[in-house]
Amino acid sequence: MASVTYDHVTKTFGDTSAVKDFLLEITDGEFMVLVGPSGCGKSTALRMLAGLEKVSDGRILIGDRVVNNIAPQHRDIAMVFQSYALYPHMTVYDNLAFGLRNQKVAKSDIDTRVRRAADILDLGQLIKRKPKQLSGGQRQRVALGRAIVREPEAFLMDEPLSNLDAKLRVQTRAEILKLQQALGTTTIYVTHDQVEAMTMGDRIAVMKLGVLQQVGPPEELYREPRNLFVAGFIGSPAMNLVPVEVLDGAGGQGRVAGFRPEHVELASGGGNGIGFDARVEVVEYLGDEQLVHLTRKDTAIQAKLPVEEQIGSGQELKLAVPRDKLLLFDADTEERVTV
Amino acid sequence: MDVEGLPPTQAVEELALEGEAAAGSGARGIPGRERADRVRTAIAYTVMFLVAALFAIPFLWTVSTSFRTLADTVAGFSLLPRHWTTSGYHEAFHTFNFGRYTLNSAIIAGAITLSNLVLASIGGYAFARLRFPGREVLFMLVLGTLMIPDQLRLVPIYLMLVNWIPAWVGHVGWHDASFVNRDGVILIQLVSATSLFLMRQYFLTIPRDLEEAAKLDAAGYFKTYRKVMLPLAGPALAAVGILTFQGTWNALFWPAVLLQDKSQYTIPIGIASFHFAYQTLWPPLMAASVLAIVPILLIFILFQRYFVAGVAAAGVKG
Repeated sequence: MASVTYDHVTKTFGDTSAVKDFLLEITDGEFMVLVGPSGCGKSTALRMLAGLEKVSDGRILIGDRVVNNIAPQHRDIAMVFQSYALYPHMTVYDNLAFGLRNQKVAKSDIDTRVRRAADILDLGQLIKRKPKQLSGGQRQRVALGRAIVREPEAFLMDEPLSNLDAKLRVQTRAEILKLQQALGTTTIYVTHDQVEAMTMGDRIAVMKLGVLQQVGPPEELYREPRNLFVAGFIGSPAMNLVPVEVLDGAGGQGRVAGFRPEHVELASGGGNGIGFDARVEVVEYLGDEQLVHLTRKDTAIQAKLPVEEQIGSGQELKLAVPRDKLLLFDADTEERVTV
Repeated sequence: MDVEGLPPTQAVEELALEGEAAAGSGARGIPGRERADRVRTAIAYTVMFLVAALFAIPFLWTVSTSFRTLADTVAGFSLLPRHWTTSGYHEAFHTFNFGRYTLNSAIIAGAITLSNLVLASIGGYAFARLRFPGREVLFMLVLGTLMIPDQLRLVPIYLMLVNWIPAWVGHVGWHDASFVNRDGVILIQLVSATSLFLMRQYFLTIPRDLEEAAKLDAAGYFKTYRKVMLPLAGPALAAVGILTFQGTWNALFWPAVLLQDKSQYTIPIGIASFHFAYQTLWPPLMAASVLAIVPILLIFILFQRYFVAGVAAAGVKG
């Protein structure tokens, strides 16, 4: 196991910069999630670490070894691909053993390691099957197994759950976490799904257009987003971001007010919250809560309210946001400002 | 459901909704539609039958002629022989040494097919995946060779084969060194642009992730080619194999130019020798033709499934 460091790393393709001056330190044994919308450079950052893309500028270190010019197979990392990239003509056993054979590992050692990985991932029964005879979830486990047998310094995972259905994704998410905690291997996990990022990462690095926006534990990103992008990207449903003029008493000029739907309350009169009226457009019933779509001064606002409240379309509601839950952002720089 | 009291159109719709009748096929379906469909089908089948006949009749006639006597072949048109005989086949084997020609054809077609499979798959992989300066230009040049007819290359290639054997070969004892023979025929067809193109196009369809996974699995270029890419290229290899074998098995041009010793003649040259200035020996000629088709037919039947997949995949991605 080892730490991983991106030291002012830049990647350009022709005139386009995919990753700009990327600075990130991932500690030994940490589960780091790189998250952002498509085209934000997260996969490129991962592929540079894997050695599948050349670094245009800066350094990448695994432990204290600069790996910029080291071939992928000598970086001591293992990667799980979005497509799994299992060799279709090989059995599960051969898929797991292929890398070890190429590294000239002793046959008996290969067998031990493959069987141990198969046990960990419950692949024992499937060891002689070919990938096309496996379900999506099983293929995903084989892909993980191929990473485990290598016993690498770091796992690199490129959206490994995106081909699974919703239920299996939740299940596998927990399995990957459990596995990572048991092995204690440094993991860099790329996803565009902020829910995955929030639930899995020790820390999350949010990227946009090749630029790192914020790094921190999930709670920090949720509570104290550094800018409008992070505020809007982290959390589901997304944070309400409205011009301050929409909320009377929010304060400031040229500011954007941010508050989460789950922090909106029905105003019971008094309190130190910022009160506002809004008209109900649609109500989504979520089981334990209801997501109410509102408009105020032609601006859409979402609120998560208790299901006990009888709310219908067209109704005018008196609502409030606690002052300590309200964040303010500069409309020009998009950075958060403290009041 | 009860549709008795409903107006006709509504009744059909109601039934269709219930799954009891398909819309338009009820008792009062669109008038004349069924007949138009039938006419269209009949026309389509007629056209298909005529096209099939265009190909099948000459073949059937070949088979029929191979079982005739020579006199029968000049006695006017009849689809079936008047007197059935296998003398044509007998003559092909005994008078014209058809067995020897078959062996020669098999050696040449086999060697060229094998070399095409090996070289085109290596070259195709390089053109599809390796990054090297001038790759696209080189590939265009390779494809460009398809536009040069063999007749135009005849003299340069012949001169190359004659002159490119260095003098020292004679000094070390190989006095009759020559490429104007079977070796020359094989040498100039070791790999074709068509084979390279087919293999390249197929390799382009194989996901890049697999190669990257192999790279991380410590496989070098050649191991990736041999252990990962080649086993997945079955359909393209089948296509290249069939096309090359069929092409060289039937080829007349280069063997006719380069094979000067009768013991090296291939089937097409052998067949051509049934044709004299004042007479053509149709029954043995057709018998040899029928026999020559058999290997191609067998190979095609065996590998047809892969062949179609290979050609189709090559066509999908540009």
